[in-house]
Parts: sequence; structure tokens; C-alpha cells
Amino acid sequence: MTTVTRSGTTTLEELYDAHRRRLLRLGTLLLGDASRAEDVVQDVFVALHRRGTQGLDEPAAYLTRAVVNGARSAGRRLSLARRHEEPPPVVREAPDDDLAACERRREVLDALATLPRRQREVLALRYYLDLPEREIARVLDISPGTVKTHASRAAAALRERLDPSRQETR
Amino acid sequence: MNERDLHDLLHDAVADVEPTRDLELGPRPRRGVHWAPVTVAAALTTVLALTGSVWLVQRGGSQAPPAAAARTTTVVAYAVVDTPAGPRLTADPREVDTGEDPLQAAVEQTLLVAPEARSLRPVWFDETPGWVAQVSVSGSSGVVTVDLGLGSAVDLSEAPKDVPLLGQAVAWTVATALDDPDVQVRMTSGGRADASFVPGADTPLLADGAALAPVTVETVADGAAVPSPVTVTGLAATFEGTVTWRLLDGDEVVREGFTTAEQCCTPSPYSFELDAPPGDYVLEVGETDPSDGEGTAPYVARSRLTIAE
Repeated sequence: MTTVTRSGTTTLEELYDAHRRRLLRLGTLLLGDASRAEDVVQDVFVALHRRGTQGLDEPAAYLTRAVVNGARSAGRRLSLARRHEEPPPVVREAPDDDLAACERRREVLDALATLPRRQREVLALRYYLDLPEREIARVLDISPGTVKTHASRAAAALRERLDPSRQETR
Repeated sequence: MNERDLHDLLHDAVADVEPTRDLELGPRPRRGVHWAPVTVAAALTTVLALTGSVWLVQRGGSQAPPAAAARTTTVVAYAVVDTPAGPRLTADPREVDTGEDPLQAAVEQTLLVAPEARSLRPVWFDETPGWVAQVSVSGSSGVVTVDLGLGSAVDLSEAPKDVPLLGQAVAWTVATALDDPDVQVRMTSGGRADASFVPGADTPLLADGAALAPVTVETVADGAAVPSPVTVTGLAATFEGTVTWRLLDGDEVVREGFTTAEQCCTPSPYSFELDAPPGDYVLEVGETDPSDGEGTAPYVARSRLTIAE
């Protein structure tokens, strides 16, 4: 690993150790792909290395916002790539129990991927990072009312995707 | 499924996701993105040599914007923005993988990828229709063909009959990528020029200045990290050619200035150098208000910008 020099009160290495798992999992929820999410997290920390950690008053919020933005860019590239690529073959090597768990997780990630980008972001920030509406609004640069609307619609849509027999009526 | 269930569902979905490598601060190879076959590279060089030289000189060359890393480069896509005069096109720089053909990549970005900035809309005014599966670009001798690759199963009766600015978005994308304002653009669908909704199917398109916002920024992508100083360039069609700019940190004006486009009142190149300390900012580039507040508010293009150390 490259030597990290102290800059401000928190070093890049300390931030990486403290946040990388949370950010990786957030990116996976946003992109549906852990490998690409890891690329995004790496890019975020490389950018932070160039920028420096001085003056970073709220590193968790900064990193969350950076990963959301990075996932958007990666998602755009991924969307284009998928227009030109054949779907990968399904490989099944895990034991039955593990396979069932993997399939359940894949089902959730696939369902998330069908949601509009903004709804997916709100769901991940609300129910994975457990951020309050005001903080989500700040990260996504939208109003708290819009967060509430997206959260409600996203939750209903996700329920429907995962259990189509439970379509909600208004 | 209540809120607790949603919490558990999302946490369980990524419970087995663990980091697989340590922090790498050096360059890392980017995963490949495979584009459609590109046939325009040789023609692009020819067109630049034959017809693009005048504009190229006027614009001070095709100055590549600073890329965040060597593995990406910036191309200029176009998106729709609301201006006091109504919807217009604006440049929307995007980062793509280095090695992609810049013209093909720019057209794909304009037609297939929604803009990231909240103030912008896709050129379709909605999401890209699903039946636009693949875009291919080819051309020579100053004429470029953009094919939307519509499959035979497409029901054209469901196609939009009027997508304002779509054709001009493609024309401006091609003209900017080639640095050639006189390039003609023909649009086809699946090799056919019989889709009446496709602008440019019958008559080749030329980039029209009336379709553009008064000021566009070509070198700084929204949300990009750039070194300082950075040269900001774009096109402006403003009163007396005046372009004003400000760099904001929240409500605080960190830097401000003005410059003059090469010509007045028609899209014409401008540039200015921005030198600022590292930080996260909003860059505003806009027109002046010749009426001093009596008329409509002047148009201002805004983009988020990080100045890197």
C-alpha cells in the first residue's frame, strides 16, 4: 500500500479502514455489482488522496456523497456496456443453502436495479445507511419532501418487484 | 413489509460483500467497455484535415479538458436545459474510457445516457426509448451518418412524433467532436431513412446556433475534479460577446471575472483561466443582462467542480 501521510486530524488510511466496508456495500446496492462498487470506492479514495483530507469537516458525509456520484458515473458506463454485451452465463457452484441465500440476495439487488436511479439511492441511504431524511436530502441535493416521496414510491415498488402478488392499491 | 423489514432486506442483500483488496493509490486498469464497431476513425481524421481547420484555429485547437485520470477522457455530449427563452441545448461534458472513439462515444452519450446534473434533461425529454438499442456512427467527406439501430420488431407507431432538439443535439455533438461547424449529419434507423420521426432522415442536418443555450461550458464536466489552474472553454452567444463567471463556495464568491467571446450574438468560442485553492465549488458561467433587470433574467450555466490539490 502507498504510504499515507498525515494531513489534518484524520489520515486517508484511517478513513479507508473506517468506511470502506460501508461504502462498498452502499455501492453494491447502487450498482448491483460488488466488483464495480469496489472500483468506485477505490476511485473515491484516490480522488481524496489528490484532494487531501484537510478541511474535511464531515468525512462520512463527503465519502457517502462521493460514492453516490461515483456509482452514477459507473452506472452510466455499465448501462452502455450492457447494451453491447451478451448476458454472462449463470454459474452454480455453491451448496444448496448458500445457493439459496445467494439467489435471494441477487433477487434483491436485481429488484433494486429496476428502480429509477433516484429511488434506488434514497432506499440505500435510508434503509442501509439509516440516514435521516434531512441528511439524505443533503447528500442527494434534493428537498426533504422529495426524499419522502421517493422513499415511499421506492419501498412500494421494491415490495411489488419482490412479491408481484402484493401489488399495492391506492 | 415494514421499515424494519426493508432495513433487514438491504443489509442482508450485501451481508456477504467484503473488500477484496487494499487501498491502491496508483493507476488501476479500468474494466473494459465494449462499444459497437467503429467505422469513423479514418474519416474523422480526413474530415478534420479537410474542413475543420478554420474552426479549429478559431477555437484555439481542440483543447482536451483535464481528465480525472489517464484512463478516462472527456467528450462533449449535449443535453436539454431550460433557459429564459425556453428549452435549449447545452454542452454536457462526460468522462469515457480512454481509447474509445471520441465521436462515437460522444454521440452514444448524447443519445443513450441521461445527464447527471439535476438541471439537465435527456435529449429525448424523457428516458431513452428502449428500442434505441445501439448507435453507430460512420461518415466521410464532411457527411456523418448516425444510425439509431432500430430493430425490425420496433413498432414505429409508438415512436415519438416530435422530439424537439433531438436532431440538433446530434448535429452539435458531431460538430463539436469534429471541431467542424459545417459537417452535415444524416440520421437513419436500422440503415433506413424512412422513419419520419427521425430528424435528418430526409435532409442532412447542420448545427444551428439557435438551438443552443446562450452559454455552454465544454471543458468542465459537472462534478469533475480538476487541477488548478484550469482553462475553461465553451461557446457563447451573448450581448456584446461578454461572458461573466463566478466560482462559489456555498454563498461565498471565491473568484469572479469576465471574458469576451470571439464574436457577438452567435455561438462563438470563449475561454478563461481559473486559479483557485483546493476545494469543492460551483462554477457559474453566464451572460450579462443588457437591460439591467428590466428584461428576463440572464442565463447562467452552473456546474459542480472540485479543485484538486
